Amino acid sequence: MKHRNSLLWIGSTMLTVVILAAALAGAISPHGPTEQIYRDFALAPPSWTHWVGVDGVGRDVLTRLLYGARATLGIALGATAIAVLLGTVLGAAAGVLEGWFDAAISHATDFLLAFPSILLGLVALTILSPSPTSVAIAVGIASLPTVVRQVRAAFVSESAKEYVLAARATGAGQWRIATLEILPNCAGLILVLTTLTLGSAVLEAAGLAFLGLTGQPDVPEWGMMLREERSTFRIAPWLCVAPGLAITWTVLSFNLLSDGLRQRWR
Amino acid sequence: MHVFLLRRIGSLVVALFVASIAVFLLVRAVPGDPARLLLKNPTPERIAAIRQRLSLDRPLPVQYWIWLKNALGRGSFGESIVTGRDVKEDLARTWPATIELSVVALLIATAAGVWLGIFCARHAGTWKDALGTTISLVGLSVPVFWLGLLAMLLFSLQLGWLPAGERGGLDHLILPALVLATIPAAFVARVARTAVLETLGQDFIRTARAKGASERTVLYRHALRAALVPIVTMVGVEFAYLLGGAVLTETVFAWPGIGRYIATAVLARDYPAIQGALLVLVAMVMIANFAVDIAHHALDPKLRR
Repeated sequence: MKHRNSLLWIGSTMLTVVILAAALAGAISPHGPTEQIYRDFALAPPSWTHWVGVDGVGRDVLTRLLYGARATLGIALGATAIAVLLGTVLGAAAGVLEGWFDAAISHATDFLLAFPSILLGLVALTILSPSPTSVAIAVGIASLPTVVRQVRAAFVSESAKEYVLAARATGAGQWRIATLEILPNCAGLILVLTTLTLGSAVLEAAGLAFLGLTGQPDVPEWGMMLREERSTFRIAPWLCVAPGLAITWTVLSFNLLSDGLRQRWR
Repeated sequence: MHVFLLRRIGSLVVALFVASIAVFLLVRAVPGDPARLLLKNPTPERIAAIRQRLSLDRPLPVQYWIWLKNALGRGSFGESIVTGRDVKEDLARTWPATIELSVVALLIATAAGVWLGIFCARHAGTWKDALGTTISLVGLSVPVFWLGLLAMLLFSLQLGWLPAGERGGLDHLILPALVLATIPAAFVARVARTAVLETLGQDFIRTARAKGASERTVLYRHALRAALVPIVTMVGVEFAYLLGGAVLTETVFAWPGIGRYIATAVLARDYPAIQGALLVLVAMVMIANFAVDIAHHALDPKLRR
């Protein structure tokens, strides 16, 4: 009991830090994320005025990290919204309707699950033009098959339970059964899937940004910061350490939350 | 077993066929003239030539058929826009590097993951379990490319123990393989821990203990064997993970594999290269999944009939 609470506790505390950083970036930092006012201090190591140092073109790295939380959380939220909303609708429909629709959805998800998800993201980005929005869409699509499969499985197993049979016996339609009877019982699973997808979306978006596919260089994103600072990491390694820590911290917070939620709902 | 094998081969062929259609349609889904997208310097003559060669004025199914004939028959996806070479040559050069890296990483990940999983299950509820579980959770949360950068910084630039990237002897392989193995190892550790814990609670384990079998025998002979099915199933998922992670790991370590090739191709919008590399990567994942399904079938007594 104590253990399961601690996972949720640590996870939500860690996540709160990230959310605060994103929300208060402007208030915390006296600098702007793209201001190059410290050119004379380029590649300066961490100090009292610049806690994480200054990057190669004279921008304060801590400021960029704080604003980066915005970009990262924004992309992850967008991607997860796409994956979870669309995934729940498709998975639920497949689980309840059965027949050819179910067969088509199941085969499509099986097929897509064979692809490494970063590859799906890459493919989506060859069609879309590179931008943070495209990355969110690409990552959302890449996360879709997992959500569909899990939601479908849950709906199929719930459909056989007595409360659903009872509802069906009273003459409730498919739509009513799916939304009013089964969906509330799958809320826990969907919440777990949401936190899990948020974590993997952060990782994946950072990966795509690291490959240089986010496009706009004026948006500080952690993966892109790593890409930019790679060239100087022999002389200024702290510039590379910081964004990676930020990514790990955020993903870990989501993974802890999802583990905690899973145990609570079991 | 024969029926199963035939059906599984059939579904592999169908899946590869669908994948090839998807890869073909990819370039048609990109806004713009496919003839221009597939050429390096699109002069009017060259555009006319490629139109002619790929029959771009004919209906889509005909175009697909011609594309497939080119891809299978001559193994040709066209010329890479970036390198100017036939994509086939680039792929022939890059795929062994990717297989080498991912197979070694797969072995490391499976061995390390299973060991950590058993370690945790054995010490369930103690601080050792908590430590192992935390390590695997952190391992799942670390971006591979960052881990690669850190490993390079520490082991090649600071300590000078290992070379920083590029393909060469065994010493070149160690760092990228270890880095690539991290996430799958963490994944396997979690699955193995759950699976072994589950079997440890069952009657046949109690019987083995009552017979006086040593803890070692109980764990490795009895519990691990019963837990093998979920672990083997994981290996298939792992391989997909590995090839995905290879895109990032290869980029960090300048490893000349398909992962890095496709990453640069996407960045340069090099469509012939993207198509070829995608098809080869997808075929690798599907063949790996096929092999895992066969192994799964052979291992699981419930399926062996």
